[in-house]
Amino acid sequence: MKYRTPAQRAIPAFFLNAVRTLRLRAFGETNPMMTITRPSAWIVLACMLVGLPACKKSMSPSMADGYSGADRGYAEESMDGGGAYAEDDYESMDEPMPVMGVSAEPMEAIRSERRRLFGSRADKKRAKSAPPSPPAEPSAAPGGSGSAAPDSAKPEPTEEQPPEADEGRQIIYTAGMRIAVFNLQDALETAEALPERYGGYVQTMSDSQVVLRIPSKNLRPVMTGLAGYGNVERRWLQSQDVTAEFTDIESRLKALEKTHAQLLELLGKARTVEEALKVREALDRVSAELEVLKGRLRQLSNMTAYSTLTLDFYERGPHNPTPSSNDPFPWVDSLGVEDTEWK
Amino acid sequence: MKRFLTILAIASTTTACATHKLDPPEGFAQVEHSEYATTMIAPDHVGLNVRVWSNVKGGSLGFWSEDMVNKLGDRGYALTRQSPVKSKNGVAGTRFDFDYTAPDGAEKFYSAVLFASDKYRVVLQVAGDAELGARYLAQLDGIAGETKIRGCKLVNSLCKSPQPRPLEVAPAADSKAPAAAEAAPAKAPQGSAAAPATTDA
Repeated sequence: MKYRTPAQRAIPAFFLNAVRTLRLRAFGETNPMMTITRPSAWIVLACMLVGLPACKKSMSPSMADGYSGADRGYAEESMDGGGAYAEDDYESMDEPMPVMGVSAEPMEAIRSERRRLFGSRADKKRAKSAPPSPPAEPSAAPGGSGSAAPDSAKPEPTEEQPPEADEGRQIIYTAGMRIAVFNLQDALETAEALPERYGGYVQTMSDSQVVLRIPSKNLRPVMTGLAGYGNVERRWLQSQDVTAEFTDIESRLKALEKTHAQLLELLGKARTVEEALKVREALDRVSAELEVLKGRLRQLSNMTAYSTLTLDFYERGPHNPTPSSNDPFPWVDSLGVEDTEWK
Repeated sequence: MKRFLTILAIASTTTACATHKLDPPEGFAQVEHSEYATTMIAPDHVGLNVRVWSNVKGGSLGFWSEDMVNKLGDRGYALTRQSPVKSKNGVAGTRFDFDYTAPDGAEKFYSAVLFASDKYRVVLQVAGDAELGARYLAQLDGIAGETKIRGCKLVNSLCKSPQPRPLEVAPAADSKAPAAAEAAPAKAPQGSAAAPATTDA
């Protein structure tokens, strides 16, 4: 349904009136039903000229977008059988008005409930005009072409605020870089030696790829250092906030440990073999679950303590010693001796 | 008359589609040919080819000459000579001769003749072992003169662009490129980074 302002609805009437008046003036017709004089025609035209920009302004996307989906839903749902009307006069919906047999009181009640749930329009405007608050968590990959999921994206930590400043948050960082180097072997050796300087270890290594596990707090310095080693063609970082899972496991562990202790107590109090067996059975189940949770907690701790950094190296050959990724005309890549001579 | 017009239309359509035309010069055999590339080979492995790209607005002979020479310079090519040439159909071009030392130390000759028409930029290039250079480079102007370059407008055409200014190879200044820095001294004796190119213009 198209949203139209009163000014917009008035325009066709103005226009028709103006045309009719001009026609009457031009052909000398007279219409007893019309009392429009020559000056009034000019007034009508002037109104049109003023009205058009105003109308355009009132229909600007920013204003139209000012209404959230929740608002629209409310308008349509609360106006049974009057959807079209509700949308046409949408701007006046906040004013009390008895429309289509719906009294103002329930509307007001619904409206206040909606404000409670979604916030008032003024709040939304304030929220829109205010600068967006930065995401809570830091990240370590400047200028990467790949990126983390929006909900887990973190701002770049400053020198003063390194990643370890996230007290209490458990975040798994996974990063990668694709680097063009002149000497592949040297690059691989350098990458292999990084854990000796920054801690961590080499997880896997192949002809041109090294996967490192680096202490999370050192991820940024390592990536920065590597950026100076060659031409970084691609850099990406993903973060996964596992704080909720971490907290959940810790709570469950506490509860299970309590149950475990109680079961041990019960086992000591068991008088018959049958009782002891039943308690033992329950104790085994709890113990097994405890071990699973402890294992997961260890795994999470390891994943948050060490970041995975995948380094892909490739050698700049004589054919393309200067990467032309930023060259708008990389035509020279297909020129030269290597492209011409037959070997 | 109708038949003549039909033939004329077909002929003009056919010739309009071709971006360039070069029959194999003496001593070369054509290996492959397409609208945007022609590749030829001599028995001593000297290669001769034509590469074609679409031109862009402002893509004059001077612009592409500088772009090509600078980028080849970054790749270790030392400009030794720059001279004007003309294609068979009168398109202005410039010939650039380079010295080049391959990473394995082999000395190579390389020459690129650049043409810029309104629709295309075309490079005729020849390369091989340095000791064969004199023989093939002597033929190059003649080969360029036998090449037809298409894509010229009738008025305000780039095909009649003035010759580029005398160019020099910019010294390789990639601080992140130790190999390039190491390779540069090897090329220096041949020359052009230190000595400016000869200009026959």
